[in-house]
Amino acid sequence: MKVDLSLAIGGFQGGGIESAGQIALRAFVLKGYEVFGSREFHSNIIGAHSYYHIRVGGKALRLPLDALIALDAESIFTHLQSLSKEALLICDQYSLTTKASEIPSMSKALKRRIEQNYGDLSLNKILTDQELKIVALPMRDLLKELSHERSMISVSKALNVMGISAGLYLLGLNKETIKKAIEGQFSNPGINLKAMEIAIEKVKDLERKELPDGKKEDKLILSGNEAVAMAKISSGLDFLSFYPITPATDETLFIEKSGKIITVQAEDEISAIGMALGASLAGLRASTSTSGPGFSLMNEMVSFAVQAEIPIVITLWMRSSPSTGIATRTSQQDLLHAIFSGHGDTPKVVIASGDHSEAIEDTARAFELAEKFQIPVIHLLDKFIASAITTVDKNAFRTLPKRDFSENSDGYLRYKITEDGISPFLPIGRATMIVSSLEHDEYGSATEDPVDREKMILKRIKKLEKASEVLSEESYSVYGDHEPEITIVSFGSTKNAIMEAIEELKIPIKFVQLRILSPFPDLSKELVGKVLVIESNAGQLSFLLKVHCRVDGTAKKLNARPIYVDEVVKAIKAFMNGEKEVIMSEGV
Amino acid sequence: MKGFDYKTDAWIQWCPGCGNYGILTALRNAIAEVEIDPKKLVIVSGIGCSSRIVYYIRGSNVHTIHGRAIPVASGIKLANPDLMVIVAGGDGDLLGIGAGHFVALGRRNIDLKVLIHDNAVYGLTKGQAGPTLPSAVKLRAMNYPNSHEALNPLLLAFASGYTFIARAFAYHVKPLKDLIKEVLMHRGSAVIDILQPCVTYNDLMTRDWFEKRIYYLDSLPNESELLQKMKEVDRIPLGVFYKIEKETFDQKINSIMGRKNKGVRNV
Ligand SMILES: Cc1ncc(C[n+]2csc(CCOP(=O)(O)OP(=O)(O)O)c2C)c(N)n1
Ligand SMILES: [Mg+2]
Repeated sequence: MKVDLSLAIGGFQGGGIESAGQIALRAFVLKGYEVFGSREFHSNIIGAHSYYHIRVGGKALRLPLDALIALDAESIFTHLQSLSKEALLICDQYSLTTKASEIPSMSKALKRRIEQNYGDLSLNKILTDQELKIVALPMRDLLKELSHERSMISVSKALNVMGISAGLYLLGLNKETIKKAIEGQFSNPGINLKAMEIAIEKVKDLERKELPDGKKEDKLILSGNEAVAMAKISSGLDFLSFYPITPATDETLFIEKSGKIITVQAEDEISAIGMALGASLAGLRASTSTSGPGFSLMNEMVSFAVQAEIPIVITLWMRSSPSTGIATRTSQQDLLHAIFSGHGDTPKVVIASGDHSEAIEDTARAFELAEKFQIPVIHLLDKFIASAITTVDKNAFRTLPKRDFSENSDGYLRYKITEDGISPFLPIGRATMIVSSLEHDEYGSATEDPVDREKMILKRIKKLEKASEVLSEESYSVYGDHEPEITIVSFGSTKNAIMEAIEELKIPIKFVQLRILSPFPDLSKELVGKVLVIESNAGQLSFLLKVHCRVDGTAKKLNARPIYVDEVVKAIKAFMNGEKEVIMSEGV
Repeated sequence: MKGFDYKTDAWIQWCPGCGNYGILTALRNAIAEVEIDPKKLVIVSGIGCSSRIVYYIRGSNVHTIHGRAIPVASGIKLANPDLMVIVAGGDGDLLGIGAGHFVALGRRNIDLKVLIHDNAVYGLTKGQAGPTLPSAVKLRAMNYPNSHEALNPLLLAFASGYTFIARAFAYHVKPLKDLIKEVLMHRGSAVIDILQPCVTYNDLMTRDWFEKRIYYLDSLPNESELLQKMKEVDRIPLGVFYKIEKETFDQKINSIMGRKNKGVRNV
């Protein structure tokens, strides 16, 4: 029996939703299942609705939900329409008497939609003719039981553990597994273990089916931010400068915490990249991380890095734009921004990863490419990957050799013209030189001579052509059928949802997943049948593919939520029925 | 004498009589007297007439972009603390577009020496008002009198936490050279505001104008007179205003992280 579950736990931000989600992930991993957990939250510190969506038995998110653990009424209202017909709903008794209009934190837009669909009714009225399996727990009484030793306020923090314990138990995990997961989550699990006992005791007589054991593997459970941070450390990162911004900060703080790497919080993103470029010039392996707004500020420095030929890895965690947009939600809106960043002819590499394992692989590759070609490499990731948690192979991490500085320092020419355009690199402090943002001669002295200028621009372009040759094979992955009716082209975090959708559809479909977007690979031989682009923006990859090849239709995700398998299935079907533009709107 | 050669074969592009020549000579002489190996000498500049200085002194130099010399220099110094890293740039570069970095450097106390070529104009873009130009002044190339108040670089440096703050005059080459030597010996963020007449665009603050106003401080001002000395405008004091020893940024990072700065390994 293949176990395949989609569940969510929701509550208010600050209410331990993330811990509860992680307990669930741990528990299913302990049981031997593949897991994928995604965290959705508001740009708010405390109070707004937040939830954790967990997929068991796959690496992509699916809707509808088989189970919802709702720690408050808002969670039920929010996810009401995402529940499968007979979904398990675990909630607080008290929530059921609540009306949407009584919840101050809930958005006006959602209240309006609920009112339109159901009228302003309390939940028990709305839920009466539904076939959901509702388990309404007397949460206050349960907390009182727990509060023998402590104050009500301190035990109320264990509400999340009560909810998730009851949920996991009813979904078929045994007490021992849940206990281990809780112990793994908290350094001091005492009160939480008691909360678990109380919750399970309350539901133990309800109908449940014990889940079979899966295949146990010794893997790491990591968020995307952590995966990239660890990959940078393992790659031998020496220097990281950053300015705090969601969803990049968790990566940088993880690296800072490791204590092994010079980590500087800069005064802004211009300085963050400027310091990293300085450190790189002095011979260190250097990087900075940011998201759209910060990368906008870095643009002039990207152009400088190209012109002055300085290796740098910029990790760009895309979030929902334009402007401040929805700071804590996902998107793929910075594709063109990354590719066309920096004024002037600015050859650079842009890499995109489809999941955690690829993000780890690409991090090392980004350093290799940046250092070999002495160019900026922009590593595109997004908020979805940043905060999603899944399992990763323990030996996925590579180490890289030190940068090579074997060139003779006598008569050193920083911008020596060579056949492949690559001039041997010596760090600042090892030879006299000028590293220059002005057009320069081979030494680095400023020049406006037309012949010098032409040579230098061709030299910089040649490096990208070389990169293109080196990368050609690795610029994209091809999955699925090789004589298909349609070819899907995509990049980044849409990958696993697309793969699963193709598996489910059982029609011959080819999937070209782009890993390198600059230099843009030649896809002319790969595009067979009708071409559908799938992306989480208003058509940026479509635009590129139209310029380079051809496109017949685009499926877009614009609501700042992750992509779900079932909406991809629908989008492909719609495309095959002749629709040229499909908007995928799932997710809350 | 090690006899290092700091000359380059670049043709110097500054206007005849430009104050930058005085700064160039003073800096080159100071470096020669301290005998810094050109390979270990790192001059980092932004963009402007003054920032061209990186082409005129042989070193391991970096010409960055407008206003951003300080971040790049900071990265270099943190990566390799053995280098002598000097930041040079205009008043527009360091106190206009790059003002945020100027403040941040003071707060960090990284061992960088900042030379402000202060001509009160944007020289390279042909004479617009610079951040240190007094208000209501209308210079040759300006359409209207200056509607901004002048920024006082010394007060900004003091408020930001610089541990060495001085002012000099570009045409007084020997005192400037001696001051630069002193700054080269200082450990921490240091700044010299160098008054530098722009012979082409600043037709008010000429050599003559400065020479009527400048005078040298007899000694380091004490705490009670420091701010008043920094604020003086009718007569313009030159010399060292403020100088203290304080833990530098890399020392702090190292003690927080409980390790020695790795700097550039294998270099
Ligand atoms: C981002 C950016 N904006 C504007 C410019 C144009 N620009 C070049 S130099 C300069 C000002 C120079 O003034 P200052 O820094 O005081 O140097 P000076 O020429 O007076 O020595 C400006 C505005 C530029 N190069 N980059
Ligand atoms: Mg100026």
